[in-house]
Amino acid sequence: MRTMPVFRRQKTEAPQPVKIKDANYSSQWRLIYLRFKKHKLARISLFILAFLYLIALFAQFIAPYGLQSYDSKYVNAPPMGFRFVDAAGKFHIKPFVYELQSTRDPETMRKIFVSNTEKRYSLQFFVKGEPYKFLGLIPTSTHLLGVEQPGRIFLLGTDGMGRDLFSRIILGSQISLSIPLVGVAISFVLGLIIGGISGYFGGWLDSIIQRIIEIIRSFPTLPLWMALSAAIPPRIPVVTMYLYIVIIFAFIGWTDLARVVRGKFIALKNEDYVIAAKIAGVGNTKIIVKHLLPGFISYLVVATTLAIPGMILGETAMSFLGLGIRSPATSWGVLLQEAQKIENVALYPWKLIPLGIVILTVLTYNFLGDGLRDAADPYKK
Amino acid sequence: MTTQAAQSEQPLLSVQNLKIRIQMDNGEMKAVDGVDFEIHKGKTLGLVGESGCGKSLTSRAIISINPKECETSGSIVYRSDNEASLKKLDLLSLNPTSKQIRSIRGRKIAMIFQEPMTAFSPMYTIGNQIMEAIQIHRTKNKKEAKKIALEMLAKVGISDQEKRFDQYPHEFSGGMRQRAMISMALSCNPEILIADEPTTALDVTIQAQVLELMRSLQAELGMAILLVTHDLGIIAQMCDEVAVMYLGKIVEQAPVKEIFYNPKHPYTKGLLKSMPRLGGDKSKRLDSIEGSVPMPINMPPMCGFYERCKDRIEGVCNTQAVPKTRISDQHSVRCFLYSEQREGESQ
Amino acid sequence: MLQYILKRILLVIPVVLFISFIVFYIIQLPPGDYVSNYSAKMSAAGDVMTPVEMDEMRANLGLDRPIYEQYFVWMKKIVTKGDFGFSFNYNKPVTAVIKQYMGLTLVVSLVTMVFHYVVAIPIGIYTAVKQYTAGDYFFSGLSFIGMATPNFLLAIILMYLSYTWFGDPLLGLFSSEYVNAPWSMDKVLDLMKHMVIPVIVIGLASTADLIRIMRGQMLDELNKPNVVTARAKGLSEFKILFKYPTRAALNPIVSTFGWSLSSIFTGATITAIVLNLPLQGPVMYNALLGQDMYLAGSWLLFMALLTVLGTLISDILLAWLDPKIRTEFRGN
Repeated sequence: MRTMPVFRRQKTEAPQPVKIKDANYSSQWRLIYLRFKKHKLARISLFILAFLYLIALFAQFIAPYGLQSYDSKYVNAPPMGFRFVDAAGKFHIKPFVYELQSTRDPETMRKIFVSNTEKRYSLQFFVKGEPYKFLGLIPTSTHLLGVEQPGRIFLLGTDGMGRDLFSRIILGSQISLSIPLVGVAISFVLGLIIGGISGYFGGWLDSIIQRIIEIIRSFPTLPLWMALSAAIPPRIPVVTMYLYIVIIFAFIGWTDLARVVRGKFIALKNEDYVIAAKIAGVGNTKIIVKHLLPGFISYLVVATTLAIPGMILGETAMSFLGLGIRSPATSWGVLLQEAQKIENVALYPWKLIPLGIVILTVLTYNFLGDGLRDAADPYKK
Repeated sequence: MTTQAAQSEQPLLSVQNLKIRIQMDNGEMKAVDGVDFEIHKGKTLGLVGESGCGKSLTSRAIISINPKECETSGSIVYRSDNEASLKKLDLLSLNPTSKQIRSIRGRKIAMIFQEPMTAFSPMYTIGNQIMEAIQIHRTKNKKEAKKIALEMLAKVGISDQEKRFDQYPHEFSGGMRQRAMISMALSCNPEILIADEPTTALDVTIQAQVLELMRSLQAELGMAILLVTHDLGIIAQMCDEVAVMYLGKIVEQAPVKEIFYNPKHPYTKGLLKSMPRLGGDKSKRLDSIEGSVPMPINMPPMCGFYERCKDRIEGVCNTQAVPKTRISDQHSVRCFLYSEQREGESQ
Repeated sequence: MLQYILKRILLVIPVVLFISFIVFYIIQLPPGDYVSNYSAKMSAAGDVMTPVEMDEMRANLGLDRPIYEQYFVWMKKIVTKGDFGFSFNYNKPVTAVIKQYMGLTLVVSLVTMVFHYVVAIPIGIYTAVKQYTAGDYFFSGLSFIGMATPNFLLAIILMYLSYTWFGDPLLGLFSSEYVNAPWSMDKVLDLMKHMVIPVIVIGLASTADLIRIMRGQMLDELNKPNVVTARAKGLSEFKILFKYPTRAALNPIVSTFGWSLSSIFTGATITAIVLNLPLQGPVMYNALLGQDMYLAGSWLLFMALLTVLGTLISDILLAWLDPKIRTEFRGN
């Protein structure tokens, strides 16, 4: 660092003299925030994620149809966009959709859908539909989107049972987006406590915990997930199933965090200011909370964020194989089950749309984690 | 005086109007801004200044090993006194990856660095890394190269060379590593040795040993040394001539005695005052220069030391670029206190 | 050095034993057992088993004894006879089933392993040297997407593309005419053709990951003073790049060897299920679902062992490659 002072300064500090002054007096979190703000991709990712979670929160309201609502008339219907201009070239202020009619392709004799330009249904907001509980509390039947009765709207097409994919993706996001969060939260707590004990007290306790972590880590994640998921009894309530899966993920995930915590504890424990506190007679709890935690909580947040994508992919994979979330509940992995057959992908490519959402979510979490890491640790580029 | 005789000779290296700019998010940083100096055969020039003043960049620019981000202009003319092909060559005009500049690096102009630990790669033995330079420049023969390397290790005072040769940097102590670094730099008999803070990372006793070693090797091999340091004590021990750098400019340049007994620039004076002295009054606090070095980004033409200067002239020092003033034949200074052309006053 | 290796190997033994117990416990977890599964299957076919028959069958298979007893019997046989038990589904010893699929699994995994190093390391070096250029953005973007894509779905997409472009989804590892054919040059070529998609799919995530790691390491190393020293010596940029930063950046890569090995093996599991490859993955999947406990257990044990061995190999390689550790041994 010393060898090239002028050059390094450019990377590590805000170069304007005024800003440097600012930085000197800012708290750790403000510094992290300032650096994070500079990371464009991470900032955009944060907005996208916030948007996705907002949708998940209001899923029942936003989704035009319920999870199990199906219409055998519309099996494997393609996505239909809403339009403003009708077949005759007339412009309508209110967007609308045409009715779908199924016929057979004269050549392949396969069922296809064509728009019936005779029947036009306008798009409506705040329509009455299936009853549900808003935010799980207030019973209502108002949905954000819908079309005039008896028309139907399938923005992203339907699945093999005639269920609206758009609604199912949105409703599935509740599970797909929350499992990693809850799983990571449990791992976070486990990792913090176990790793903290291991790192702070050391000795035989540390050795035992380390051996246990080593053993758990020796299991390849996926087969272990598979084995544990296979142990979930079939036909259990959705909530129980959800809990099982979250616990499985957390059980495997905490070891990574525990290692981070332990490493940081050991590193910080011997810092002069901690030893000084100890000599001054400060109690263990106070030392941990006041002196150790602030020293690495940012690293922990980063490690936690970076653990989420793996959980999303894991849940998707498990559900995809039928070992995770099962009907009647749905998640993105469940939605992708239909894509398992190559004919389905070839004929009904919209069934891959959930994949796009999965990739988007994982990407944004990765970028967010990267941004946070750079912000928390600017010296390690 | 011998200095007189040396000055009359052609310099080995003459740096003229060297500028290094770095583009940053919020403007252009003039890290080095119009530096001139000469290096003479067998002499030592000291480049002294605070960290961040551009002295390291200047020394590295000579053999074009600065990062890509540094836009370098000016001229660095190298005159070899014993090789016709290198009669007079502007090193800056060469492509930094070209064969020609590479044939000069390590062979004609060698360099030693501040941190001997990180300057050596931990992955290879010391011997391997010393031999590398020899094998590029002197002999392809491995046995011969090893022989030269062992001789060099002996020359820098490392005993048990055969064993040391096969050891890794982490098995060396700091002082030993710097000795090895010197032996590596001198293994091809360079004409100029650039030493970038060679003793900063070392203990005081080791520091003295390494400096002594450099001096005796200079006497033996006759190379010129460009010594980059922030330590005036080292300058006093080692140098014939001193250039004081501040904020990318050389603010004062003179033979070493002149600098110590007749400093002109307020910055030089400040530096000298901040040096502890043997037999000085211990109850008195050491003087320090107030403030810190500003960032040379989008600086208007003015004296960079203005903010910290006790003798500043408002309306003069902060309104125009400071020209170089000759105090004597060998002593120059960039300060309006000594300048005849103070435009601000004459108007 | 030898002592160190021996010590590390000895340390592995208790870990493996412990793992084997956990494995056995886990495969016991699913409700019901092989017999109840079997009887359900039989009754679906119209052949209803009586409880007495079921108990008899349990006694025959040793399933009526307590877990720990079953475990000890299993372990004893493994240690003394190398007998991993009996696969109920295949009606064959577990070793025979594993042997049947092991060859191809190893081939596919090793090819993937080679593929992921050969692709990732040069790209990692390239993106670091050309940081912030179009090439860097391209490969970095690609590796981010690679990390974000569930590989089983990539398999489907690639199959679909192969189907639309070449008229062949390249399912399985062999074309139908070669499945039972003896080994020949044509069969090998056919295998290689069919391996393209699986190798890409299985290797994608770890390749993308390795690119990121290699790039980060290289960026660290490229800024180190020893690179400047090498340059000041007059070395060519090319030689500097490979002798100094690359060599140093490879060290931590080596330490991920064990992890890569197991991630590639596991990655192969799901991909093999989706692509219907005759590898261990689908066998394991069915064994887990069908409560074929000895097969599932042996396979889990094998996977865990692989991870432990991979880590062991990483540690030994690291000790051997890192002069600091190596000289410590020499000193003793």
